Amino acid sequence: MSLHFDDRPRPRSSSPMADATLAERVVHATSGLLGRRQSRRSFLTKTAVVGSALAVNPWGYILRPGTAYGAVCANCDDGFTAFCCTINSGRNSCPPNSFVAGWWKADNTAYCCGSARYIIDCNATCPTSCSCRCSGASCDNRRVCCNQFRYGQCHQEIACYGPVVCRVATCTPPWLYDPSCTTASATDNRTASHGATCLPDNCATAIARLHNSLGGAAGVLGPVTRTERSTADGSGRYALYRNGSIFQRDGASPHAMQGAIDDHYARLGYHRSALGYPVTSQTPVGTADGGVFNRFENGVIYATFAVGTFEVLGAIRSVHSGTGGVRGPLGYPTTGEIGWHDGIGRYQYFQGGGIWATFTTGAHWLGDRMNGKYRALHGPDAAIGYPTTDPTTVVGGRLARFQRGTLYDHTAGAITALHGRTEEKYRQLGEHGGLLKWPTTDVRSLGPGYRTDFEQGSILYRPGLAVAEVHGVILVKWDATGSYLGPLGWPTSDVITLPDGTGRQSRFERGAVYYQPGQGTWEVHGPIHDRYRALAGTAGPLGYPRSDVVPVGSLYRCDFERGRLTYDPATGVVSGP
Amino acid sequence: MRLSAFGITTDLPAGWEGRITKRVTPGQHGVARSRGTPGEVPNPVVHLANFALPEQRGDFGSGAVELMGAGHLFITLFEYGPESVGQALFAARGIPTLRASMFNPAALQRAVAGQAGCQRWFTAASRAFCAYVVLGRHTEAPALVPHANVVLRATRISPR
Repeated sequence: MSLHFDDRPRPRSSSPMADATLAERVVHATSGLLGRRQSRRSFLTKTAVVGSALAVNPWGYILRPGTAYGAVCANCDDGFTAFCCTINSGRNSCPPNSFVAGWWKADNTAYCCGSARYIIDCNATCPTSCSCRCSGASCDNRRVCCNQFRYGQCHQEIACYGPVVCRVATCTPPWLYDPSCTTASATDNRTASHGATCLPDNCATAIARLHNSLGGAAGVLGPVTRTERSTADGSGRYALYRNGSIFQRDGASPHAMQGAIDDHYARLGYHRSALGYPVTSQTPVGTADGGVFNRFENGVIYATFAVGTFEVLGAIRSVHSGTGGVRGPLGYPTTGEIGWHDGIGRYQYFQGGGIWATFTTGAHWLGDRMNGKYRALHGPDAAIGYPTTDPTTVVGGRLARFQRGTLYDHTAGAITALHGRTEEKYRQLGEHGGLLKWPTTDVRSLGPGYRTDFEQGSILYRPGLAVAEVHGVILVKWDATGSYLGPLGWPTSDVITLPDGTGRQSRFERGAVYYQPGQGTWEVHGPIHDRYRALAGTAGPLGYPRSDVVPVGSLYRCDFERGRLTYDPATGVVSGP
Repeated sequence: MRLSAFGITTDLPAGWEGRITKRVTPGQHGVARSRGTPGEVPNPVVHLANFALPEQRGDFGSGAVELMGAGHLFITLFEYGPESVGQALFAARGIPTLRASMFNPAALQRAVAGQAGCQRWFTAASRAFCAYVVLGRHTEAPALVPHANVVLRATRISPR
C-alpha cells in the first residue's frame, strides 16, 4: 500500500478531509492504517504526541516512527521557552513571581483535537531575580527566564516585566483562562507541536473529545472547572465545566448536560441520583417553547424557560412517554416526583395533568380537569383512593377508575367523583349510558346518609338501608315534601313500574310516592299508607292516590281514585272502605 | 514601493518588501473551527524585511527570522484592539525611533544564535501597537538600526 498526498488544489468534496492540511490528512490516513493493527483506544491515546509529530514532520514520522520524540521534544538550543508544568511542580500555570503577560495560538492542533491551541506566556514580574537557564527536563529542556519578549495581550496595566519564565499550554481561550487577557489574536503555527511529558493530553479521552466537539472552552460548556476524573464509586468518569458537565459510564459513550439541566442534575446528585448516567446529550424537543431534554438511564430531565426544569423517572416516566411525552396531553413536568404523605404513593404534576403511582396500582395519568378535581379532593386522601386506570374516553366524556371509586368527566358538564355503594349502584345502572345519565355532583353527605345527583335523578343511600335511585317526578315530590326530613324518610327502593304497566312508585321508610300518567304524583305515608298497602295499593279497591296525605282539622286524609282514607291520631284508627 | 492597508501606510526603500495582513476571524461563516475560537479578534499585522519573506509566517516573524542573514532586518508592527489604548503598556506615543543599544540577543520571541531583537509598545492615532525589530546579526546593529529607522519613519498610521 502506498500513501500519496500533495498540496495541489483539489476539487471540492464532501469528504471530511477535503479541506484538510497535509498533516491532517496524514493523521487521518494513519489512523486508518494503524487502526487495523491496534485498538482504537490505544491509537487515540497516542494521537496528541503522534499528531504533533505529524504536524511537524509527517513524512519523517510515517517512515520512521521513532522520530516522534524528536518532533515534539526539544533542547535548550531550540530558542523557545519551557512549559510551566516542567518547572512548576507539574502545574500548567504561571509560577510565583510571574504573571500572565500575553498569548498566541497555533491552529488545527492535535493537542486540542484539531482546534486551536493556546500558548500563554508567563513573564517574570519586575524587577526580577530570575536568571536564564535550561529547564533540565528530558523532553522539554527548553529555556527558562531567557527570552525578554512579550506578546502583550494580558495585564496591559503592567508595563514593566521580566523575561518569559515559562509557557502555559491550553485549549482554553486565554480571555477565558485569565480575564485580564484581551481577544487580540496572535498566531504562530510553528509552535503547534511543542510538547512536554507533563502537559495534559487534552484529546486523550472521549470526554475531552466531546467537550472539544461542543466548541471546547469557548463552546456551550465553557472552560473546565473540574478536570476529568473517575466518579467516587468507580462506575464512570466525569468532568465539570463552567456551563455544564460531561458524564460517562464505563463502557458507554459520554454525554453532556448544559445550563439548567446540568444545574438540576447536580442538585439531584449527578449519576448517584435515581437518574443514573446520561444516555443522550442535551437535545431540543423541537417545540416552539424552546424546550430541551437529556435522557438518562432511568429518566429524563426537561427544561423550558416558561415551566422550569424537572426530572421524570421510572414508572411515571413510562406513563408520560406512553401519552406522547411533552408533545402529548400532559406536556412538560411542573414538579419533580413527590412522595405522598401516606408513604405509599408518589405523584408528579405536569402542564396538562398529573401522574399518580403506587406499587400495587401502578402509575396512571389524569388529564388537567380530572387531576384538578382529584387535587381538590385531596388526592389519595379522598374516598376514591389511587387511580387504577388511565382515563378512558366514552360517549360524552371520560372516566378513570380508582381503588374505591371513579372520576367522571362529562365534557358538557361537571367532573365528579363517585365512590363506595353509590358508585357501585351507578355502575349497576349503566353509568352515563343508563337512565341517570352523567353525575352532576359528587357523593354528598345528607343528614345521616348520602345523596348524589345526576342529570336525570339521584342516588340516595342511608347506611342500613338499600341504595336507591330516585328520578323524575317522584324525586321532585320527595324533595318537595322535605326529602329525608319529610314524612317519607329515606327511600328503600328504586323507582319501580307498577303491575298495571303505567304507574310508578318509590318506597320510602314511612311511605311511598305514586305516579300515574295524567293524574299527578302523590305521597302516602304513615298509618294511611299502611292501610292502603293492606288493601293491595294501586291494585286494590282504592286505585291510585289522588292527593297527598294532608291534615284536616285534627285528622289526616288521603283521597284515592275510588275512595278516601282518614286517620285520627287521637284514636290511631284509619277509617275508609 | 508603497504599501497601504487597514489605515497603515509605508514607503519601502529599494530591496525591501512587506505585507500588511489581517488573519481570518474565527467564527465567521466559512472559517473552520480549527482556525481559532469565536471571539478572537485578528488585527492588522505589518511585516517588513530586507529579504524575501516566506508566505507562512508567525505574527512575530517565526518562519521568517530563521531565514535571516547577517545584514537582514525584520520589522513587525502588531496591532492590539481598541481596549488596549490607554493601558500603561502602550503609554508611549508615536512610532518609536530605535537605537543600537536597545537591541539585545535575549529580546527575541525565539532565540536564534547571533540575532538580536527590540520590542517597543506605543500608541499612534489612537491605535495600540507593538513594534518588534530583529537584526540578523547583533554585531551589525550600528549599521542596520538606521535602516530600520528609515522604514519606521516612512510608516504612517491613521485612525481606525
